Amino acid sequence: MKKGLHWLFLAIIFMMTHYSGWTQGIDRILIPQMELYESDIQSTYREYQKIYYEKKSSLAELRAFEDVISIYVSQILEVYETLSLSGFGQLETPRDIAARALVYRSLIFLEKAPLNPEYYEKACYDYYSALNMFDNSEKIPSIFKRLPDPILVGAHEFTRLIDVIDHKGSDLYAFGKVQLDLRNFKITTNLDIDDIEFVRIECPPDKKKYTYNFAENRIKDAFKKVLTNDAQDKTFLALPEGSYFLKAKANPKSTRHLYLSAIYVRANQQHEYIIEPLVDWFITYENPSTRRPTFTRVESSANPSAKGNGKHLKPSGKNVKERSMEKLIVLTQSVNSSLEKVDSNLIFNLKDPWIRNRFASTAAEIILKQIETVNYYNCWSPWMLSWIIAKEITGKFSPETVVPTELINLVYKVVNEI
Amino acid sequence: MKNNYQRILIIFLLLFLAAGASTLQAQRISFDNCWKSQQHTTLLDTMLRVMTKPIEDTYKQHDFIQTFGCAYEEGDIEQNSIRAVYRAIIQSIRNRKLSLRDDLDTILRTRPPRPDNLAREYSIYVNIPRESEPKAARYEIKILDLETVATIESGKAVWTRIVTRYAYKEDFNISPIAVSNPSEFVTVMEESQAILKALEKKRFSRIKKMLAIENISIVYPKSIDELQFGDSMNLFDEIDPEKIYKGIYLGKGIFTCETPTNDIMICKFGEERLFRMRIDTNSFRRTVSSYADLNYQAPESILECIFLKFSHEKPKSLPQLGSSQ
Repeated sequence: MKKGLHWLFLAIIFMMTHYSGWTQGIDRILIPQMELYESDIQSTYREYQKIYYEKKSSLAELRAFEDVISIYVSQILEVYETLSLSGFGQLETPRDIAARALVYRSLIFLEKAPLNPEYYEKACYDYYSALNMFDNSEKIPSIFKRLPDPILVGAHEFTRLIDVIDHKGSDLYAFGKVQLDLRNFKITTNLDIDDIEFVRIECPPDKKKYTYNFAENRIKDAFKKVLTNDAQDKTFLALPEGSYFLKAKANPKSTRHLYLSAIYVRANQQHEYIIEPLVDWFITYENPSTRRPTFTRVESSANPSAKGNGKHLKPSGKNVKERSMEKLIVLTQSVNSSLEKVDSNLIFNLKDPWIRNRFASTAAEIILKQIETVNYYNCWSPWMLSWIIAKEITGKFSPETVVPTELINLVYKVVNEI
Repeated sequence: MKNNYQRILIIFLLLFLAAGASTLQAQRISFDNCWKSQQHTTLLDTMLRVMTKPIEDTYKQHDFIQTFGCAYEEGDIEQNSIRAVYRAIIQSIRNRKLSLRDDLDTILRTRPPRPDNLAREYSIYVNIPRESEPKAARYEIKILDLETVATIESGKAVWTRIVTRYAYKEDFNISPIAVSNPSEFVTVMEESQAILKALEKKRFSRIKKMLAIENISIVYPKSIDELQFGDSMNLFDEIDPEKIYKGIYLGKGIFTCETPTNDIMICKFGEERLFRMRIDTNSFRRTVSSYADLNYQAPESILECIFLKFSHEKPKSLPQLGSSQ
């Protein structure tokens, strides 16, 4: 008995001393494995395009390819999960690979979508899952980064996934992501989940071809978890632009359900909704995340509470041109200070002070223009907004070059600052 | 014969129009008065009635003071009973200018007071304020009444009447003189009822005055999770962010605000975008503390009624970007 305990004690000591070495070693095995899977996914994608466009293969063959790619994706996701759980510090590379794998599968689904519109929705779920991985991170999402190997799509070669999405994935932009956060439900809450139906009430005519078939089950699953565990749960939906609501099948005429559970979705936008119990039903409402740009507030009246009813928060004596100039100066300063924080050599050739100054003022002008449009409040995320602005800056400053990733980083910093 | 046909046709037409009208009517929800019900009264009315009950002489002679509490927020009698008793005890502590030493909430949850059980007496420790350091004292609580009552706010509302005193006479002798305030929560309920009634009539300026939203802020809530009834916020035009509108939070994600069309709307968060407005999350302000101090929450049934009352006036989808409303 004593001998047994002695060995057990030694085993624990051995595990404790070698644990850190083991976790460091695990990534040396698993990351190359992930890279291998990724390369297989990339070649499967190429092959898929070939059999889809050139050989006009049957649906069964296409399906087989989708299955193969799904196996690779789930392998990558499993490895990523293992690495996350192992407490391995540097998760950046595995996360990038996992996100890219999901985007590849999303691109495959998009290829097939004209034959089956449900694939647009499927593609969206993968695309959003990839973006979700960067939700609480300040690191640039992998879709904006350079790929390990360039990818051939049709006759074009791409070095970044965002360029592929821009080229092929316009249908993804017809959807919006709705993050649902179910709160304050109790095990005793009187709701028949199986009786709930998810319905679309309004939709622009050009978005009618897109489906929302997976949403209802995802909502029901989240509700079931919340009601059995007496806790919070989160899920997300990919919904084509439009207005939706949840209703009880048993009470189809209730307009009350329509108003309380309405969800409004704008294309290519992220919405965070909270669902809470209200009387004997529930209410869905958005978690607002908008704020007015700081420089607008700086020049506004000292006592904002005294205004309202659509009144302008403007200091007297300044015309539109003067105010616009002031904002431009603030933004140019912000661009200049952000240039110090990024590797400006990777943007354009900005060594010449005159060129650098011209770049700063061009970037500030474009940022100001974007901020003063509704795009600012409706863009998917600060990263997506930064991408749009960076594209415009590149188009104006150096039209022949590819949008530099470091420029996206720079714009992100400026946008976050204001 | 021809006339008969015409008559039948007219009758059919009228019937058809009547059916159409009734369907249209069904689309609209009409709530004449959210505070009116044929079966129930408000909890405020109940409280104002029961609060006239004087303290029994036996208790008065033994230095007890009487306070009241009520609750309607939970859909469960036990939870409402705990809240009601908690409010009554806290009122008594405030009246005597004391502070809690025990975790009252845990004590009540461990042995919950229910209208149908025998948990009627509690004993807790409180701090009597002294110049040097507070003195610990035992405090006795007796629940005299605890009743469930169906009101407009909730079918499971609970009200309670309690009496409290120090366990030892010497503590009574050194403690500050108690003020007589049966329930501050009821006063807050009264004020909020007036606000919600004014809201039903869309009297926004009056509500702004009642909540003194133009006064200096005492608290700046950081997110919607920290918002309480009566907190104010700024909304801005998403095309021209320098145009601002006022909003007042009511509860459960519902708020009232001015709109660019000079109308007053009752929206849930997210619906401001139907009017091309955005909420400035940096602008949350609190100018009245009583609602947050007493953890007041507007009744869900009233919030739902007011929200639904004007819902049909709102557009059904978000405006297209780049086009006017």
